[in-house]
Amino acid sequence: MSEPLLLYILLSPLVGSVVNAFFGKRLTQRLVASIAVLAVLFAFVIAAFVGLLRTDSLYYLLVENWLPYGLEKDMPGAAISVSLYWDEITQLMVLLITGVGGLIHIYSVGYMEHDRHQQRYFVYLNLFVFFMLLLVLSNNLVTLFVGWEGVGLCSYLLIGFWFDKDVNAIAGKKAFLVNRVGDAGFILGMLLLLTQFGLLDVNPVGNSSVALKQMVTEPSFLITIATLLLFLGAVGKSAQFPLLVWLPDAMAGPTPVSALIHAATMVTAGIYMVVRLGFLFALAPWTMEIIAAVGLLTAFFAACAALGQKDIKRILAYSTVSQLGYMFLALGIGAMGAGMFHLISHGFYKALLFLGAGSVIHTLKGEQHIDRIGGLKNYMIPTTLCFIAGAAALIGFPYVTSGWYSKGAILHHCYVGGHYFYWLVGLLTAMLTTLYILRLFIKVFLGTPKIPKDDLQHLHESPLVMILPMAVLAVLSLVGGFSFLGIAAVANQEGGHALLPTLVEIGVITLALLLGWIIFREKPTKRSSRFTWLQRLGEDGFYLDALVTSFVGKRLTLTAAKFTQLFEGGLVEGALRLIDVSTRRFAYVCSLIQRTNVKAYMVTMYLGVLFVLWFVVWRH
Amino acid sequence: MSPQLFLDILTYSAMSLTVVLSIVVVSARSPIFAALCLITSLLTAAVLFVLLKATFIAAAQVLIYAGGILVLFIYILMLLGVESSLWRRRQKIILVALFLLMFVAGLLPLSLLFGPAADIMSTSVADDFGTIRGFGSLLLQQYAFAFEIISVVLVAVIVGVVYLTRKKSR
Amino acid sequence: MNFFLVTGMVVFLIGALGILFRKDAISLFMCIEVVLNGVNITLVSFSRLWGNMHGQIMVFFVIAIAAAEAAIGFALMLQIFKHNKNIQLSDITDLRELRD
Repeated sequence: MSEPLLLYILLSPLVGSVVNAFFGKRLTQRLVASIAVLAVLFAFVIAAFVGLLRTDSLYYLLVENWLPYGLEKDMPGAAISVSLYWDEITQLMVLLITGVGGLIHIYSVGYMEHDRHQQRYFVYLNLFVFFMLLLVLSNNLVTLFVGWEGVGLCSYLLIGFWFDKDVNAIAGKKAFLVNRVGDAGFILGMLLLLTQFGLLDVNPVGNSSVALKQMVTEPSFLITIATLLLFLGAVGKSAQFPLLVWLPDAMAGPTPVSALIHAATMVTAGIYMVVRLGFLFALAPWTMEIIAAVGLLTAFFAACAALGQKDIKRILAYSTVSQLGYMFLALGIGAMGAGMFHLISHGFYKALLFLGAGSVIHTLKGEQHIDRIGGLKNYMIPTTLCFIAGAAALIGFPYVTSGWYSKGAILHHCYVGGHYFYWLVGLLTAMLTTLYILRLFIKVFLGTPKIPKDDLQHLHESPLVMILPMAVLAVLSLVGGFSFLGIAAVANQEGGHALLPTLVEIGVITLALLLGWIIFREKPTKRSSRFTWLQRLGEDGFYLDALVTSFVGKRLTLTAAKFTQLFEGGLVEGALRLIDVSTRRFAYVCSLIQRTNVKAYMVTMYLGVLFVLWFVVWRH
Repeated sequence: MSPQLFLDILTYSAMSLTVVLSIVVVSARSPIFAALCLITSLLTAAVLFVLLKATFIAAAQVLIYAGGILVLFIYILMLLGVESSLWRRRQKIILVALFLLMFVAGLLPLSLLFGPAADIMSTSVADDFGTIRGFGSLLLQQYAFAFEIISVVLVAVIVGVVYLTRKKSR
Repeated sequence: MNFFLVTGMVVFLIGALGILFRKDAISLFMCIEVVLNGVNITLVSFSRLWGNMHGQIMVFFVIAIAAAEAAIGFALMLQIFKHNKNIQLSDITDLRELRD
């Protein structure tokens, strides 16, 4: 009954994108923006409709059987189908993508108001939403991978949106190339699953159940390899250690893009994929261990790096990486529900934080260095309030924020599951999280303004079209936890209630807040110079970027340059030159008989006629 | 003077006049003079047509060709004022040499070898041969389609000429 | 020897050679008319030889096409004259590629 509606959800942003791409030049900016916003909101309304009226536990819509494969005897003839799949997880993701995506579209109308290329921006943004929806709605890994690559493409396009600056273009390329590493793993894992098990459907109860049973009975070595490869894809897409280097640079794009793509949706694709294939990962305990370890390492490492950053958006980027690490930690210890819960609440509050940062940047016309801002709370009250809501959710302020419930669920699972080391490091990371966001907040919103006086006079709050989405997200960040209490309850019940970890958590957060206030509070004279070297280290992301760039990047670049020289300089250029020169020569020879000399034409014609005449006679 | 002798004299003088006038057309210095010679040459050709019993075509030749097209020639010559072109001696020699070459080496042997053996005049013809009646019935029955195509071509020509010569003020 | 056919042939040849030696476009046109005249004589001769009138029909069409050709040709010549101030064939070189 509702199945065809899934297509409407999927195609609505695509239609918006195509319409804007082909007719956007002739429409007014306002109309272009309206089309883009409406396309996403339409998808959201339909998704909400489908969700509310859901009667079956899952929907399945076959669009087309695409590529037949496995037609040998031992495998029943199957086809890689273009088909859509809808269950609770899809529903959560679709509502997050279209809901938060819609809000960010609305926000973008204000943020990109003065940009000449607004049309291009909305085309990309709508296209991104389409690919993201394709990713989460796909029933099999191949179409999922199409969406996976599509969001990567849109990410590249939007990071380098202002490509006239080299830095932005390079950041886009970097994101794309780093993602290639992960995607190679993803493709290999996918092919392994296909060739060894004939399994590509993400849906465990679908037609792949035979293959699944076969897998459970067989030794799981191959599954471990396949899941590890798939996880490599997730590491690339979700910016986990060591492939996290692209995300901080990706902040070169417009801030709403960072909010939508690099905080709320695209980077969570890796988590979604692991959750979606949870039945598969559950068969590979080794992979799960590695996922948990990588997640924990990333969470801690990125939190440390965030503490040292000076760019408001880079702090948030590292924070995103850190929170994604939390999610992978949850997945790794088997708490898929908690991971999804954190994904959703993180989608709300991190989008909110980015939008708040965007509001600040928009007002200050591009200023992003936290030491050069300050004291904004008196000038931008709504933004400040929204930012407080987001920061509180990020910290996981006890009981009134969604972050408390979702992060709490993860930590509970660590504690109850007996992973005490994970639990401790998680707590430590929570403390670091509190510290860096407090530092950001104090430097940007509190203290004395450090921007020039005459700029300060013209300071005005962002337009309403930007404030409203932030307000909605602020409410969601705070009460989102309650609305998802069902999930939270389930997540907590899985882990069972434990009073001690809750108390410890509250204690840690309180301690961190006090500590942060003491350290980062603006002091008139003495600046703590003791930690400058540590801060320096953090600012450079612990030289991970430099390490990757110099060891992998430089060697690869050199080899690639040599190949380019050999191939492009020798083969391609040579072939092109050959074509060019030979064409010219041939044209010259041909043009010799066409020299605008009518007499010459006539003589040629007579000779031809005579020839034909003699030929006829001779044949006679 | 017998009628036959008179006809022979008329025939050969018309033939030789046609050829001589054609040579003048090709080699005259003044284009106006060439055009006048062309008209005369067309008229003598019309005489030949009459001798060949193609009376309608002869009339058409006089009316359309000599009367219409050639008047257009002269009109254009007057309008544009084309200056006469000078012939160089060497050019004339080349012209004559080429003519002889093509005539002797090209067409004459062909016509001698493959031309009709019988005299043209020996064929007996129907009563309406060459008259408007015979011509019209053939044109409007067997050649009706070609006739229509010719009319379409002429309309296209009119449109084309109007297009080419219109004032490009806008 | 049929002198009608020879006349047609000779007139044709004279016209064809004239085309090679005349320099301005209008004289060239006149040479073309001479060529057509030669063809017409030949066609009418053969019509008489075979005793049917198909050749004469051809002549009629030739006259019609000659009229059409003259009309278009003069329209073109007028334009060329406006542009070049003469209608010498050797001056109509606007479309020639400039060789460096």
